Amino acid sequence: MTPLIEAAGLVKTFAVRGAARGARLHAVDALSLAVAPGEAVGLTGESGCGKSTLARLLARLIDLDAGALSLEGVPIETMSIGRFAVSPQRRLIQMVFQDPTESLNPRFTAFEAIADPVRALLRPKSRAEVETRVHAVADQVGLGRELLARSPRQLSQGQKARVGIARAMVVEPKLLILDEPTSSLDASGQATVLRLLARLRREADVALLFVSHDLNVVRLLCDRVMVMHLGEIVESGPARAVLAAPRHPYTRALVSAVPRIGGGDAEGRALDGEPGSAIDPDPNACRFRSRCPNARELCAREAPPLRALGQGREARCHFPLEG
Amino acid sequence: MNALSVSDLSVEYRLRSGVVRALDRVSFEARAGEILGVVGESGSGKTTAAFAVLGLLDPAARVTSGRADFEGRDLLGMRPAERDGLRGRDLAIVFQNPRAALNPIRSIGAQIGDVIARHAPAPADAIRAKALAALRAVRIADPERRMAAFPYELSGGLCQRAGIAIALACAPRLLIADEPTTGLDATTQAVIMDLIRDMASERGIAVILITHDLALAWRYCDRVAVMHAGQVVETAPREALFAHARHPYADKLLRSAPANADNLDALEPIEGDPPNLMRADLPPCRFSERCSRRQAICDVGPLVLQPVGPEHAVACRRPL
Repeated sequence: MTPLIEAAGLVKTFAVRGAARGARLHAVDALSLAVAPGEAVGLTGESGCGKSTLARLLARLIDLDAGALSLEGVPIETMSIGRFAVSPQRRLIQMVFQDPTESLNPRFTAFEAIADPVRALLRPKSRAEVETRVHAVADQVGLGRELLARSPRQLSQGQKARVGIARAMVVEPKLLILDEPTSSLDASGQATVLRLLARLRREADVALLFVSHDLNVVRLLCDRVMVMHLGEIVESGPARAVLAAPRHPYTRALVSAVPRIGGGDAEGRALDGEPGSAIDPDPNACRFRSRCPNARELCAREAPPLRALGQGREARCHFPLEG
Repeated sequence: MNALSVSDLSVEYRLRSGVVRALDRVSFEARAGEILGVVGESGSGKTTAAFAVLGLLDPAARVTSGRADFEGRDLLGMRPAERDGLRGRDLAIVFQNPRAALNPIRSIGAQIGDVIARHAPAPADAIRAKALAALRAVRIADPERRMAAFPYELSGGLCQRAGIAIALACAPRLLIADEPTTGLDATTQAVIMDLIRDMASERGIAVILITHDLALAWRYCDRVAVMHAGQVVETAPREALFAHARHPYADKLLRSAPANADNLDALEPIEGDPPNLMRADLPPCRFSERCSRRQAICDVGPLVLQPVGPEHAVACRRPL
């Protein structure tokens, strides 16, 4: 089956101010991935690992430096992001942003916020068509119609999150890219949004790329998880299996840092030291070695490749943990 | 020993559009060396309660009843100037958004020095030495260099450590941490929370942790107070609450936690919204309109916390 979206060797670097001349931050470094139609994939890692940059590359909101990107088998990286924004493919990939308070225009009502992408991408023939689509999607995400006339400041955080999702869903995308959609919500609000996303996936057959540092949420929603560290994927595989028994020491550190109700106190041992730097990393060393409890001499002299470990699992480690 | 004992605290906001009854006879205790978790949905009054204790409420707010005894003195009854003298020295707070809480145009070292200079005036080099020690205490690597750094030069985790350094600089007896790790990733959260817990036990500080993350409360708190719509509905030792919550809201809150669920179907959002606190006809139990166990007796007021076990109390006519 053709993947819905496929990326090969994606690279995005940024110039660094204040660092040595010509220094580049390698936010996304030769990264490859594929998402199948209707699949839910989690993308996780610490702040600064490059996951938000990757999400923006895949959504074609920023230009890539190198690599190939195809949507339903059609290359899209050759098109400039300006051209892509007005192309018929734009509606197939939609993004839901982190903080609905900051990503919604404060002067638009919920109706206008949702109608905006309809007008921009679907060329509606009449006002009635816009209204029909907005009402249908409001019902789909469980946003009462009486709320559509309100501006963002008259909506609760959970209602704003639903407006953000409705805005993305209204153009009937095949891939939703969600950047920490639940981090500003309390537990009950998170539960509502997670159940909504699972239902949209079932009913609208939309694939989800779910960017989050909350592993509990990834475990509940996603089939597959990719763990990112300093611009690279260091582990991937079925979400439950990876989070239950990580093979990469970095994934294990992330998992043990997440509090679990009923868990013991000793489980949570924070990583020592500060994260390594993604500024011109040594191409001949593992990027995690400075914080890795298992680092050996080989790790400082050879960068490990992402290696298949069977059962759909991969890890970028010379000495993967026992499964 | 109770470092802080809050009883019957009620707070109203008087707005042009009406009166918001933000807190309704709230009671809780914080003990030296322990962490008390205050949990509940957004808007349940967790931060209002903390701000009332510290005298940081908005000018539109009025404390209409209650007291907050801190080491034998009522914080709510004392003159504002007296309380301001305690705040920053004996009473400290770590805010939710560390970058917003710090002054963007002063170096980290200068900001810690400001707090020390205000409460324990000393020559400049002595203040500098104390500020450096404060940064070292929160285990910031390379503290000499970080003294000169501005908030925008530091990561969110480092900014929050600087915020904790400021809070702890004058050896407080009570530390209120208001969602100190929201927005930080799990590894940084573990570093910050381990630090707060170590400070509490090593220095005998009473800590109040305000959070909506129940798994975080489980890992770090000794006791937990659950709030809903401005009322404390249950207070219990951590194990007792998580093993058997007696208040229907506390029970539902636990069931809605992603950390507690094995799959999405097990995740139950809490039905309905908290009542509008501007309503004149608020029921005695503010959860009753969302509660499946409601009966006529629930509408007979007033509602008080009743003991149901060792250190375990619930404000419910029909507890689970």
